[in-house]
Amino acid sequence: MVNAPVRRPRPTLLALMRVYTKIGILGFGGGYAVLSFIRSEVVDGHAWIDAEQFDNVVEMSAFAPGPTTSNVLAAIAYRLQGWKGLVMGTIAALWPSFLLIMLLAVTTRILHNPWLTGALHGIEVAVVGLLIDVVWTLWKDVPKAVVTAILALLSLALTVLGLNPVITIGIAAAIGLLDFLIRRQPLSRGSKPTSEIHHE
Amino acid sequence: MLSGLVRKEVVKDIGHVVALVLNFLWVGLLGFGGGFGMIPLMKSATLSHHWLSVATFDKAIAMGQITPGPVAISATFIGERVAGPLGALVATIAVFTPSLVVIVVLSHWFTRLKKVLAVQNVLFATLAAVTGLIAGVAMTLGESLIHAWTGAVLALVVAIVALRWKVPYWSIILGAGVVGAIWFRP
Repeated sequence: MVNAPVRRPRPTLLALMRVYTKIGILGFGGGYAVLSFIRSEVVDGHAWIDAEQFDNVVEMSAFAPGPTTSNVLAAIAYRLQGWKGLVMGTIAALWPSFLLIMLLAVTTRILHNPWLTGALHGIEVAVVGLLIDVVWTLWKDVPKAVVTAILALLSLALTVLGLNPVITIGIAAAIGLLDFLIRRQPLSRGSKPTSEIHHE
Repeated sequence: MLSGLVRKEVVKDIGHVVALVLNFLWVGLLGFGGGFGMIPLMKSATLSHHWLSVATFDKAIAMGQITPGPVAISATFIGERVAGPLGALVATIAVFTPSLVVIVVLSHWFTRLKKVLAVQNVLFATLAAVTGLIAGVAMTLGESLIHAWTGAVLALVVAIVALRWKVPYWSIILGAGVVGAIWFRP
């Protein structure tokens, strides 16, 4: 349980912020690479939480909207230092990226160097490749069923046609609820270890 | 007359800031599927308000990739272009706040919530839709960015490298930047 007493050294707010800033500066790319970096800091390095708690936090974060890495960091900070930890920890992790992107926003507005323009275009094109990777990775986590396949294809079509994605997500949630009410049992990811559905 | 003009500008700015907050709260609340799930939502919010051109939006996402933080930080870039430093700040706070609140709620209720099977089902359905959304964005983004075989090759190589070898992310971005500087320099 979340509130079980833990006999572990609790970091001070300052120590937490120092480690989070380090992750914020060096944690390039998000996803699993950064998750293992976070794990090495808070579980192996400082032993603020144990491995099982960490896995719990990662699983929980998948149920929240927003970036997985900042969610995991926020959940750990909340567990260690409450609201104050949540807010200050998130700020500590984000300020390096915030400053850098501000700097980029301002410089690219005044600076029009052809090499820089070319490099940026290269990165824009790379994003397309990275999105293909994200689609593939997410699809592996989706339970394979007729309803999920139809939902994915429908969303793809609606996005290309230009429908507001908020509406698409709303429709999907409604269909998900309807599907459950009809079948009376949830979709399952099969025997994947992340799925806890059958552990009543 | 000048003061009238100034007031109008200020009112317009306040309007922009309020619109930024409201729209990015939505983006933050509905951006399931990790940071990339926010891209379709950010794109529709940004383009429907005519805050940025498609080309500049693509640039905002690319900038979000250069920074170490999550893609959601692209909201900072969009906010800055719309309403300066204040816009950047409010857009950033707005995009991260909903997920933080959800994290707090889940921290207390997750074990119980996980057992509610209907919740599971709704989340899986949403995840399937988000996968489709991101695929759609990949297609529209590719259509607007890739005009020659060089671009297609770069995107394909990045996808394969990311899928097959799990190479460090920064090296993909750096490599794409170098290739871009050589191939796409105007």
